[in-house]
Amino acid sequence: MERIHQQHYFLDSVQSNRISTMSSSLMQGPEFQHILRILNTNVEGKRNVVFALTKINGLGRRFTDLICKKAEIDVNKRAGELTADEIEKVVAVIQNPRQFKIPLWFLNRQKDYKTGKYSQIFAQSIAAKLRDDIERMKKIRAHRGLRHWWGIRVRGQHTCSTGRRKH
Amino acid sequence: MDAEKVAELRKKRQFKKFTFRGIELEQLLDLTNDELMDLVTARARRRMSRGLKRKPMALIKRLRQAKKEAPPGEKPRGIKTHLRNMVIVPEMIGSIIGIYNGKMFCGVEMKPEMIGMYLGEFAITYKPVRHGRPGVSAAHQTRFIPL
Repeated sequence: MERIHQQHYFLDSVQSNRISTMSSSLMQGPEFQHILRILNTNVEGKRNVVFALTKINGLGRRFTDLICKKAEIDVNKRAGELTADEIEKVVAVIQNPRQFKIPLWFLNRQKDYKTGKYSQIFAQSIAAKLRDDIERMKKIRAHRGLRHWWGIRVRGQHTCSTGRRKH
Repeated sequence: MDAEKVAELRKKRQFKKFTFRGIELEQLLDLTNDELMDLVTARARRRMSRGLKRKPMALIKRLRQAKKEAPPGEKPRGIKTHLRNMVIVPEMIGSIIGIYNGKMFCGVEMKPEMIGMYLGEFAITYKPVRHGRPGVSAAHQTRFIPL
């Protein structure tokens, strides 16, 4: 349904001879950014907002959809058309999800081991948190940590005949 | 050494404060079972809610005993156990437990980072594989060995 709607849109603006008041056909306009930089990641401007934001580590389709709704951004826009204000709003929502009423079960770092907080981690912090978790297990010599250390399967898989093409 | 000096020394030695889900060590030791259940993982919570008829009562009693008997500033003596399926609670921190791995008792000191895990995770039950030259059975061609 949505796709048909958008086609209509496009035809309409073409037919109206470039005298378009619709911002959606401002594709190559002066304010359109081809690559944005949000939260230390490059975000493609050409894509739809929701999907462009997924390029940020830690945000998937469902989460960005929710973010855009909470930040009141038109989901039919392309990412390059976002104004600086709107980008700031988005970043604010990502960094304080609870303030914007995003439910706790939606977040990717729940009941954090050290701090007990619920948060959404994104971009570089994901790699850092992962490393922290693994280091913790290695330090206490837990079985899982040992297996990480040895570079073999951790989650109980059979290793007799699989996993041979070790990176 | 009096108890005060020992306690002070210990605090000075700790360079990084340990927090378990936002709660510090001293408070952890005072938690009731129910409060602890809220903090641990789902698996541990289930175990605690199911098995609190206290099968491992004996182990905890002996741990407390050993801690009391230990001279201040030294580690308590090791307690041996077969209970690999025991969840580690804050009470056990600082004790030395000899965890059975089928063959012998591996002495492990309980650290605060271990809370919520099982005892068995710290006593590995197998010798890690070091592959050597493959034996006779491995090579497909030489399946038939003439006498």
